[in-house]
Amino acid sequence: MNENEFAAQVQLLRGGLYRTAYLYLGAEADALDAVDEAVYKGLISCKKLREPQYFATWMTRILINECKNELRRRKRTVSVPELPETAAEEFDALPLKDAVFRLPQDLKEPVILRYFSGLTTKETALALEIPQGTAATRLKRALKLLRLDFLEEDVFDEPK
Amino acid sequence: MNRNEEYDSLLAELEETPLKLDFTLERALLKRREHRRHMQKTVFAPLGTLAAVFAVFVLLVNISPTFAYAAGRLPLLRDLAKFVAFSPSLSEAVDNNYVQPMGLEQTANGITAKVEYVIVDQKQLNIFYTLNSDTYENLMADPDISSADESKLEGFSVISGDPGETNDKLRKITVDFAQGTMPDALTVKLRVKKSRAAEAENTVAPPQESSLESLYFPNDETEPETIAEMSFALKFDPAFTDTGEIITLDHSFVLDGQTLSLDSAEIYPTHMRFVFDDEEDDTSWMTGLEFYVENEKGERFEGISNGISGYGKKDSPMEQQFMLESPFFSESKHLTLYITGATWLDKDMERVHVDLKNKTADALPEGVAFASSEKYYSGWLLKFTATAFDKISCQIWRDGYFDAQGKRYDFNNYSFTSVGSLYQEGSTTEAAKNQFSIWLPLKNYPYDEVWLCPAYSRHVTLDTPVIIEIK
Repeated sequence: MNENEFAAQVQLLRGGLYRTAYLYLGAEADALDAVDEAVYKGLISCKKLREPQYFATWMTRILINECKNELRRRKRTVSVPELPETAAEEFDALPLKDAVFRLPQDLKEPVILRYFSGLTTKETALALEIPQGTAATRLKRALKLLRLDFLEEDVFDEPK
Repeated sequence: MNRNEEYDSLLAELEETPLKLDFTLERALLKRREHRRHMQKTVFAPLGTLAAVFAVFVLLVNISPTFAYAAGRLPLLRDLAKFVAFSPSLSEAVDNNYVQPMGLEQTANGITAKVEYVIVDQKQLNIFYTLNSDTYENLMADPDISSADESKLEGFSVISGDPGETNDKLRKITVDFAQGTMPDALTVKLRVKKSRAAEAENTVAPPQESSLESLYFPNDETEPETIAEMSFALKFDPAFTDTGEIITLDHSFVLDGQTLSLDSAEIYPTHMRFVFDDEEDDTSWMTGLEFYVENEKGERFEGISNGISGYGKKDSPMEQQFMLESPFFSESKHLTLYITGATWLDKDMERVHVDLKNKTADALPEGVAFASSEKYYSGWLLKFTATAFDKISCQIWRDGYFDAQGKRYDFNNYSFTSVGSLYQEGSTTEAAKNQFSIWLPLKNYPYDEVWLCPAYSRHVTLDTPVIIEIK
């Protein structure tokens, strides 16, 4: 992918990237920093992306790495702990945004990508480098915890 | 509100993204440019060396044995042809087998560097090389250029836009002589490092404050560690290093009321360049030029947009040399220069006084407004809005600013938005469509007044182009 194509694609994707980073990190400034760093890293390596149809999943993967770096940094300072899957009542008591933020990481990632960033389940699986069936299973577990009542096909088909 | 309604509400809330997000691409481009600029070193030799070279000559290079050798290896040049596809001059050079294969290889610390080809002429050298390692994925190299006996060499610029490529991919170093000519041999030392991006992926950076403060007043980045050093002795075929045509013109002309002279036009395989001079009596310095060259077949040769585009005059704000794509292989009998516009810096605006506290300036470049100045603990952040000449954001301040005692400070960075951003931000005037913003951080600057150096005072688009016959 050349730089002009990268620039055009990133302008379309930046909103989704920001939503992903915001829900992942829970703070606007941190989310903007993560998007900035991901876009910079994407810019300097976009020539390596040979199949432009994977641009969204490729950029999402770079962004998630940035978010993970930020979370690792935070562990040195203050961080809000994840809740275990058994803590159904605690999840119920939280506003949805906070509940998503405190999901176990293996459930939080697919939920953010599938239901807030606009990726399909297949793209979510590609971005997270997990089998599509695993992504679908994690989505179902996450939806149950969040008490979100989506149809079965929402998990497998087009983004909501 | 049930969970699904809460989901819809949260989605709507997340649709509202911060304004700063709109400029994430600009910040990435700026960061990359700063990184590349760091790689570029310019050293000027004393003036006077250029004046000695006023002979007109052309060498018939296609009888050189090196060309025959290059043609024999033609299939191997495919990767090079692909690499230079975005440079019209270098593409023409490859198409015409104007390439000297080098085939030099060295290994150090598990990293192998191969200098595969050079495209060299009387003024410019383009080195094409690869790096390969079983241990590292993304490597970059800082080049040091010296003479054949490794003594200091002067009068050249180096550009190495190498942000970190993958193994075996071609990379390029450009060495260009502003004054003087290409030696028959020189030494290039490569200091190989892990790319900044690769390093960032493997390290956990310390916590950073996320604010305007950290955006415009970042901590100084440390250089990645050198992991291997290789030194290559490059010997050039004289048939290449002698190639070039210098046409002495000494043509005096008036442009927008200022008297200039076009001293010479130089035509090389890698580029064409014009050398201008001005007169002491002129009231303005020329800091930019809009131009093109056309041959008798109607083929146009435009200014270089990706690479070294010109040189300033020593001890003057004047832009003296302008580079453009080369007509060398076009077999042009006649070449004509068309000057369609110019940018000027009035001599009484070399430095302008700016009152930071009261947000006023004694003078500003045409179309520029002083939007804000805010004091931060380590300095000031200034914002200006400017009108673009040609739909693109441009530099409005030259590097360096001064305090009341005349002490010079250098900018660490600055940033600007794309043209039209003010319109997108809500300003509905027609003028806003051609405007952009620029932020200028004055780091570690405690004073309430500063002297800035404008890059220009005004711009003019000519109703009738100035036309100069080159040959």
